[in-house]
Amino acid sequence: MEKKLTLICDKCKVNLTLANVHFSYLDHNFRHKVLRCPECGQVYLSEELVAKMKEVEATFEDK
Amino acid sequence: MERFYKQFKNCIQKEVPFCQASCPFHLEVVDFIEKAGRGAFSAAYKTYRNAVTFPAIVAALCPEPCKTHCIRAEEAYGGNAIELRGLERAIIEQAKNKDPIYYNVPRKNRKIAIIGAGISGLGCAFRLASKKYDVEVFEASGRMGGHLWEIADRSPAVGGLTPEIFLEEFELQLKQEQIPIHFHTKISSLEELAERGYEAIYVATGAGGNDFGLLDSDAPYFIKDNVAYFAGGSLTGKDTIEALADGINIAAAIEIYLKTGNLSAPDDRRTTNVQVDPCKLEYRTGLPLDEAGKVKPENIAEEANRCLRCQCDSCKIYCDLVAYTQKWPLRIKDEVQATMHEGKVELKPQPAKRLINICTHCGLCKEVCPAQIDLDSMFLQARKELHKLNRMPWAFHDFWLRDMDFADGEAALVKTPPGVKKSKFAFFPGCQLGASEPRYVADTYSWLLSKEPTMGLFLKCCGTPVKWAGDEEKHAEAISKFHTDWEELGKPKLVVACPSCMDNISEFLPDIEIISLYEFMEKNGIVPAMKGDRETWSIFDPCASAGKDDLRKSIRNLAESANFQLEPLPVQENHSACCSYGGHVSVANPKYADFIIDRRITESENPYITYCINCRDAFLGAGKKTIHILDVIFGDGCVDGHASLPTVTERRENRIALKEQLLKNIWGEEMAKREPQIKIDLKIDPELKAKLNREWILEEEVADVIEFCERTGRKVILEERGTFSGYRQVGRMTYWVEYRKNGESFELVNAYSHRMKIELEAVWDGKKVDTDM
Repeated sequence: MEKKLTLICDKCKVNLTLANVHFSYLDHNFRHKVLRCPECGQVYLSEELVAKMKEVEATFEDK
Repeated sequence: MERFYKQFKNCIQKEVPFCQASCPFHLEVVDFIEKAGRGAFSAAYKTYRNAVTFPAIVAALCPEPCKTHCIRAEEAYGGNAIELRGLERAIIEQAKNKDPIYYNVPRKNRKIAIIGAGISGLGCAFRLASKKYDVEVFEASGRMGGHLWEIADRSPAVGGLTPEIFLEEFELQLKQEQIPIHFHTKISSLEELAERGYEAIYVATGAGGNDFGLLDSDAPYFIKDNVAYFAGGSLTGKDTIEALADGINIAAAIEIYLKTGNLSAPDDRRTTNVQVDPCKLEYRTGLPLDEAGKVKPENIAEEANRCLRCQCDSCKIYCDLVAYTQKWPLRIKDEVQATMHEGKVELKPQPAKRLINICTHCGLCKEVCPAQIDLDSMFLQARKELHKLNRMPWAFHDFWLRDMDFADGEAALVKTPPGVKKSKFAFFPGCQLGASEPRYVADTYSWLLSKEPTMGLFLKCCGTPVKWAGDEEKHAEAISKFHTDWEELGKPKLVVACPSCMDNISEFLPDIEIISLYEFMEKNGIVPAMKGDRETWSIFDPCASAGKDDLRKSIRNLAESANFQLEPLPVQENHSACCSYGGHVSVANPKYADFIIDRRITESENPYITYCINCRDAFLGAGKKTIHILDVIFGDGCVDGHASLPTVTERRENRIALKEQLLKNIWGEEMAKREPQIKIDLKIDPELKAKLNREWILEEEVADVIEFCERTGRKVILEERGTFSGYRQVGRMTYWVEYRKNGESFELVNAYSHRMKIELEAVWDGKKVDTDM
């Protein structure tokens, strides 16, 4: 497991916190808590999380 | 789609092997043989017992009708039939667990009477009792077995059958069920039994026994006053084995009668329409049995594996999709039908969406199928309908459609040679040849011009990618533009390098005359520059070369004239399959693409010469020594394989560089100044470039995201790593970058992408947010 990273929004200079983000793909919609800037809403998704998203994408493609 | 579904009516996949059709018990031979072959003796025994009920008796007495129908009996394939009975005897000896299965199902409370405790009556009784019907057996004598006693009394005993063996067998097989057998009970009239509440009566009184008048009627079974009557077994003149099979079949008929009230003749078809693929028919002879007629324990696997498993499996042998998914065509059809069925997608499963998008469209299916079932066209039609219904996952084809736009846009070049208004001929290399090896296109065009001064250049895509994506509208548009370009060139005869382009042009632009580049080269007496060494090579014919005999011949002539020793590939020579590029399957299922490549490159140890650039790239990328026929012709290829293939980014750059080079060298024109695709100073190390290539990410897309992050400030600082991270949606894909900034230049640390869209809110935390990503 990778060390916890300090993630700071470059624009607002504040630490990112967990907040809901709305995702959509092939007429499927869902919300998931990911790291976001509490000020401007900038999102961060790690490569590990994106790898998991790809599994969800495949499920939607097969549905 | 209906016309595609209809063709499956002719599928003979369910036709049984010849031996199984001739077997009175219809033993599932393929299943039995497979289990025996892998040493699963108890499982093989169960399969055998499920068919014959009394294995020890049948294995002793079976007259082996299977042997007269076995293909291995033919001299050409071994000269001796598979020793199925010998295997059955061996399995009985080897199986550790022979206990019958007890089915814990509720009793049915339906009464059945069986008259005669011979092998037929007991077989019928056992079958019904195991399904929890109330079966009672009435036997005039004081013992079970009927005429088996006479057989056992003969000297020597047939098949070594002794009373001990059959009595022990009855005890073993019947021990789980409670079957009352009333000995010394002579039934004088069937009406008497009917009055006692029996709903079905089987008369199995043996040869010369009382038939109660049943044999006087047209068929030995009928319904009278709500009771079904059956006569069978030796009473009807059958031998021991047929008598037992009769009892088992009558049990099935009784069950149907009790469930439905209908009487049907027991299904006992002894014919089959099975066809065996010729590639399975090699010569293989058998090993001798032991004195007891058993296959020796050490020979079980070999004898089982000698069996040809006669079933129609040509699709499984040749079609990559069927082989990979292990789904028989009838199942594929069901899944496609369920997927294409109209109705709300939320309410029904669409199991074949990915399956539909992994057909390579090589067309081999209909060629090898005895019923000519065309899976290829069914899948293509399904893609069209999925697209129309807006159910096609866009990501499956997105990369290739963007690639096609690039080939038809910036990279396109359609021109007559300088000073020529109308071309009689034009060179059409296809969109991937110049992307992968620009020198092939440049060298070829120069040579073609030297032979035919009006030779125009037609550097575009033929439209196949939109066809594979199922987008009929865009395909029609591409075809129409193609036609206009061709007219502007002066309606030339096209000299085409790519066999797939040839197919597309022939099918959709029938007024355009075409010739393959390699036939043109051969006819015009080209002398290959490269000289083959003594090594033996094989020609790998691309899937689209099927039916193009002149093209295939030209390739062989060209290679042979360059002193290459050629050896035909065992399968590909006559059944040309795809290299994995066809149908753009690698995005929908990358593992499947690897599976196909592996199948193709392991067909022979020989290095390959091919004439499709996609085949060359697929095989070379997997480490197979492969050259293109244009390497043979121009001699500037590296025989030992290229160190690296161009990345997806370099493939675009190659096309632009080729266009620039051709414009300059042939027409003396400078290409219009091109807006730089990468506007920032960006460094990407080779390992990361390889990763981008694997994940279909273009370097210009990565640069675009960095430039966006810098311009808008929409980025996150990863403090410990000293990097920035940000993303942007480009087209429909979302790309993520992690990078370092060194003064005015940038170093890419990582990049990845996803298909899901991040939906940003217009107002976040009470503030207006710029959602234009």
